[in-house]
Amino acid sequence: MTTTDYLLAALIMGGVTFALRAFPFVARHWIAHHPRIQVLGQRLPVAMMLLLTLYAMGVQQWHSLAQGKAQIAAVLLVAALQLWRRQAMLSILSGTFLYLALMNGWLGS
Amino acid sequence: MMRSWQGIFPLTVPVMMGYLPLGAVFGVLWANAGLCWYWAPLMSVLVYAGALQYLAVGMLAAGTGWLDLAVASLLVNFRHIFYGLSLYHLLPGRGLGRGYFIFGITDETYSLLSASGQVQDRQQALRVVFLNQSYWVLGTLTGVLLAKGLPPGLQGLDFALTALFTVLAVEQIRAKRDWGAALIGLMAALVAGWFFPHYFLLAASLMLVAVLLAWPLPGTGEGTHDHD
Repeated sequence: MTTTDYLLAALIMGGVTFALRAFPFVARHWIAHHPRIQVLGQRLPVAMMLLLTLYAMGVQQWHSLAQGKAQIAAVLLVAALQLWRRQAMLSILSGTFLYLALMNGWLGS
Repeated sequence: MMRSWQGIFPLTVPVMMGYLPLGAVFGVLWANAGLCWYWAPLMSVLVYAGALQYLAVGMLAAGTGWLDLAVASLLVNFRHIFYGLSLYHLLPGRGLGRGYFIFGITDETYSLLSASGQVQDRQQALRVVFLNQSYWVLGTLTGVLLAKGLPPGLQGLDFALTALFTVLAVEQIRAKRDWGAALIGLMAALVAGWFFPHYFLLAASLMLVAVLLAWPLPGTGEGTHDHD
């Protein structure tokens, strides 16, 4: 690939992505007259966060729950800690540590 | 009220723990595909879209056409079209900052910024965007320079991103108590995972948006009356 090819690739990917990210700001006036779109803006984060959690866990690649044992255990720990203590860093670090321990066999199994 | 850089930094630590290793993996993939090394960090500067950049490695190495690349960009990042809806209050007034803020709305940045109360003003938001991209670029640079394998002890460190999404999901549910939306999200994930595993995020977010759009509007205020 030539430098022009790389630049073109970056402009295409970056341009499309930026246009998508800019849409709700550009179309703000139109959106202001469409209550359904506003409701979408309020309700979407809840569902999207769940979706992104599942995606980051890699559920779409699992063929059985057993494949996601470590992910599930660590996510449950994070969620439980967050519900209980409500300290984001504590929840994230504990969950990540549990996951590292499970994945690298620190717990001896 | 105003939070300094030092005040903002802790908020972005989970993203850093995810972006450094994930950016590094992108750098390694890029270098191993035989692509020009310095374009890896440049992609992270100019494009800044994780999933798409991963996908592009294979496409560019295989010499895929420009139209295919454009379509892939559209499909992979389509969900971003709705992110700004929850971020109006943080959009900088004018100028470069405004454009840069919009440019930097990745999944993780959106998660941090849309979480209730985490970030309150525009300047903080812009700093969060900048810090997050710095981690991504730094990770990419590290990966492309190391190219041959990360320390094995780092296996699984990117779980921090999953943990971040989990925390934000818990906080979203706690703040809004919108069990309907949560259930729709789970159902969309289930259907997409079952029927479209290769287009999971795209399929699930399209279903999600379609169902939420079609849902009867709640009444104003306490939402007891339905006027649809």
